[in-house]
This record gives sequence, structure tokens and C-alpha cells, in this order.
Amino acid sequence: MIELTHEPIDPGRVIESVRSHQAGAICLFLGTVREFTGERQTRSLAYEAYTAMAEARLTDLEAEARARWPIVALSIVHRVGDLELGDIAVAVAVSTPHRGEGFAACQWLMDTLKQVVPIWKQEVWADGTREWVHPGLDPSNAPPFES
Amino acid sequence: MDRINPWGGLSDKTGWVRLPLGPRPPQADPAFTTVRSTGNPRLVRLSIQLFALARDKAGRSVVPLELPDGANVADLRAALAAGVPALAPLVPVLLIAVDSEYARDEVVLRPESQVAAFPPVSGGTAGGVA
Repeated sequence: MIELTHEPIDPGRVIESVRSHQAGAICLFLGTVREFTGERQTRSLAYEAYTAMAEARLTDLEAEARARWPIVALSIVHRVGDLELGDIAVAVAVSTPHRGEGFAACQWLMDTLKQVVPIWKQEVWADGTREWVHPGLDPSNAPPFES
Repeated sequence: MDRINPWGGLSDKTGWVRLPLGPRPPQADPAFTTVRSTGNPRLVRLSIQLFALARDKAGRSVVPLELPDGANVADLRAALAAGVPALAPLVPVLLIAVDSEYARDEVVLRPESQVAAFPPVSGGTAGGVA
């Protein structure tokens, strides 16, 4: 299940979407809205996606993960729009025969998602100012091309 | 939408921007050679979608550009920087997507190409949380 949604993410539904008697493990990752980044206080976050491309890249990520690990089922759900503190921004769930490959696949999926899937977040700081988070703006960073 | 017209008479009444490109190196693409040799250059009209900081800097979500036939992503970057000065400082680090794929500078644009420009995605350190 690959989804971008404006609605709150229900982790129970994400888990159920990958549960299978062919699997001995389900690894679930949830990314949530954190209040403090160092000294700076967040009031809320706004996520924006280039939907068509994000869905295409997420579908590619699923295919690549399935080629690397013996995945029984896989779900990635990403929220877009305005999120409050503690809200779930992203859920990645993988079911696998054994836990080792589940942990590995889940971490790889989340790390790669954050590099290649065109979804951006904007911090709304406690003082009301807004700031896009684009850590890769440093020109020395390599673009996310496959090589 | 405001008119981009950084070259005086070069912008036509439709609001599309024609980018005056200098001489290009010889191309392997025979279609390009034909266009140049007949002196009848065709143009590629594209609507560039902008996202996140790029959209905010530009003050709009779509920028129409008109490029010479055979123009590539590097030409598109030059046109964006020239046509939307507020984007110029960001252009070198913008990612360009063509038909939902990240595109290197040498990728040639087609009239039907769906093109987007945006800053790097949220990133986050390895193992970091949203």
C-alpha cells in the first residue's frame, strides 16, 4: 500500500495492511512531529508533495526493496498538509519471514524516501515564522541520481 | 500572471519567454541539425511546476518557458534564472524532474515533457526522524 494522504495516519491500519502468516516479523516505523530541534521550538509542520512524482518514486522504492529483501508485504503512507505536534507524518511497515531483514528494509526505505521522494516540510516555529527544510541546499550535496 | 520580459521585444504577446541561446556545440541529434540548417527553428513550450522554496521565491507555482527545439535541462536552468531573477540564486541547486524522473543537465526536453523544479527534498540525517 502506497499512499499520500491529508488524513491522520492510523498505524493500526498500516500494520494490518502488511500482516501475513507468511511473515514472522512486522517492522513499523513512524515519523512524528517533534517539538524541539535543538533550542528551536516547533509549533506545527506543513508537508507538501509533488504527488505524481512522489507516488512514482515510492512505487520504485517498493520494487527496489523487494529486490533486496524477501518482503512479504510493504506499506508506505505519507501525510501531507498541516500537522500538529506528535502527529504521524509518515509510516513505513514491512513484513518479512525474519526480523533482521525487516529492520534492514524498514531503515533503508525510510532513509531513501527522505532523499528521493519529492515531499518537503516547512517548519512553523513557535514565534510564527515559517521556514522550508531543505538540508540539501548545500551545492556540494550530490543529487539523488542513481549511478 | 505577470509577464516575463527580460529581453524587451523578445517576449511575445502570449507571455511565453523566448530564451536567446548562444551558438551550441555540434549535436549528434539529426533533428537539431535540420532545424538549424533550415533556419526554421521550432520552439518547445513548457510549463515548469515549482514546489516548496522555489515556488515561494518565484511567487508563483507555474512558470511558462519557451525554449529552442533541442534544448536540454541546462538550457532550462539558464532560462529559469533569466526569466525569474528571484530564482536565480537557487537555480544551481534546484532539482529538475522530467516526467517524474530526476533529470541530469544533458536530458533533452520535448514539447510533451512534464517538467518540475524544486529544492532538495527534506533529507534528514541517516536514521533521523521526520
